[in-house]
Amino acid sequence: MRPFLPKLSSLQSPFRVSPITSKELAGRMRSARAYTVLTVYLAIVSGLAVLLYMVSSLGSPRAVGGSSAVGTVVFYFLVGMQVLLVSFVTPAFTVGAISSERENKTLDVLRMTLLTPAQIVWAKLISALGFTLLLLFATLPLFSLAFLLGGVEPFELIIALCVVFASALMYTLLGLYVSSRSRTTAGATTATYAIVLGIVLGIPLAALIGSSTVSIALSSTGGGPWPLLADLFDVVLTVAISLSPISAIVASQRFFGLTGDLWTFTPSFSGVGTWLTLPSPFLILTGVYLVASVILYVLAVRRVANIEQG
Amino acid sequence: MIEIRELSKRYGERVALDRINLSVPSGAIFGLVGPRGAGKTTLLKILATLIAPDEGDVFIAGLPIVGEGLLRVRQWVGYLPEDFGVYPDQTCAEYVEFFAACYDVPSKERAALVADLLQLVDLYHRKDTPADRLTPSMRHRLGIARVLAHDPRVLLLDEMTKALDPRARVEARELLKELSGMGKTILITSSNLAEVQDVCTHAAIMQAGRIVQAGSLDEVLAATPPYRTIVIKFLGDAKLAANLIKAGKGVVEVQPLAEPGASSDALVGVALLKELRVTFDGAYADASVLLRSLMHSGVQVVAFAEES
Repeated sequence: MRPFLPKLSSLQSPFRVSPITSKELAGRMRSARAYTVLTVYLAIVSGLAVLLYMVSSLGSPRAVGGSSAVGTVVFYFLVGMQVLLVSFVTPAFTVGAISSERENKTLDVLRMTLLTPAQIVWAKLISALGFTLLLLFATLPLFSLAFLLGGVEPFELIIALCVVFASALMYTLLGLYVSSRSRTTAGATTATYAIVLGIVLGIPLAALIGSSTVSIALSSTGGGPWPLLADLFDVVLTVAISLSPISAIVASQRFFGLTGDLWTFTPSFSGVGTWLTLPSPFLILTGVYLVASVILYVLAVRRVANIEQG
Repeated sequence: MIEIRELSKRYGERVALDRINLSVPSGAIFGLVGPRGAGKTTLLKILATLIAPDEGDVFIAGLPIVGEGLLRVRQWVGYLPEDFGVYPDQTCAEYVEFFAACYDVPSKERAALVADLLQLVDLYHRKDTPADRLTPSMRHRLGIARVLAHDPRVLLLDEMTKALDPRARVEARELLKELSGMGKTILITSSNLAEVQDVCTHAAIMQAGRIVQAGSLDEVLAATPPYRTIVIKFLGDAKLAANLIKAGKGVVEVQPLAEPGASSDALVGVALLKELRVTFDGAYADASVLLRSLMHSGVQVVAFAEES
């Protein structure tokens, strides 16, 4: 055996691929599961897209604008599938990232290496995002069908890209953070999916119920006495809608259709108030998700640094 | 090589380490001996930079183990926990290579290094075997190869011989001597001084988070009642037997024989033969009382012998 004294510099280089990323990607791509996930996902999405195209084509007259309506339908279907992918499949790549190291009793020896907790979490994030990006990019050829048929505006593409990529980052980091807190992968999985379900479906549902109730209450009083309350209600509801990727895309597209302004809109769910101007829901989602991602990353790093494995 | 001054660590109300002072000379094989819960693993984890101490100072090769010196210390130290895992999707060679990469061993040197290390621990013929399919004894040898991947000057080995069968224990002792010959300082924990006294040059006895005796092996042996291991084979209620033994005078620790295949649940006819290893520092009269109490309580003792 030759004597060896490593230097500290090269592991700290941001341009170097971490050994953890290499190991995780190699492990993932070596198993049949990765190819099965990719194949099944593409088969389902392309099958449904073709079916949707055929059904929409039957209903649309072969006149000017007919194919563009079909293109819009296909585009939103594909975006919806991407959103479901990043919301419900992406966390699965990270829920076991740290907890499985604890379960396998490999975390202590990993933490003892020259890799810092920040590098460990970053490497896990990159390997999970790498596979998510593979799944996202694999569906790009299907989008060409929508663009071929027309009807998709550039703003719709901007909205979709922002929401999908911000969601991919946030939900990956959510899984990673919950994983760093959980003793078992099963516990991390349950907790992560409960949170994701709450964000993606629970918040818009609560917003819908809340908006109906409050707008009835405000309109019954004429709204006059409480314009500030109405403003607050508009803001809360807008943020609530914006937190779910599905409702953020639908709302952004709808508000743009109504006002022609991609970046801002003036909500008035209550029908009263002072008509505040707010950023478009997709911008709120992107901003909130990016900030949440940074917070989750920092918390996960701190957690990994302080884990005392039994 | 290792200097520990007034080191303390608490877990809530429980004191794991209580103002420990210890000095491990360079090139020593240092046995840290004590019963379970004495604080040996906590001390090793602090030395391995995995746990921060509450109070006190620790220096390895003159470097403090906290703050900016942490990564430098990690270059000097290799830690083998008592119970550690492997990645199921890696072969033995990939496992060692992965950790070599984590210690920034240049990629062009890794293949030769992995081959050298696997040969050193006699696992080269298993280099392409998935790491999770090794026997516990082989897995420990793989762990040693992993620990050596960055050529550390200090080795921290927690209960290294516990999971090994008798033959592997002899091999492990030889390996420790070989590593010591390579100039490494080795700190090894054990619950039984007899297990490590063949290889150690120095030792310390720990009890309830304190060092009660430390020094060269001769000094420690002279000041410590000799520990012996009694192997008891019996039929009947293992829990009852273990409780009776634990209550016996001179009993330091009771543990089931760890090696699968020869362990606690070997089938003999229709009854299950249980086997316990008892670390014992009492007189022969105490051992006799222990045997009698087992037999009077209905435990069918098949064998009761001191391990040579």
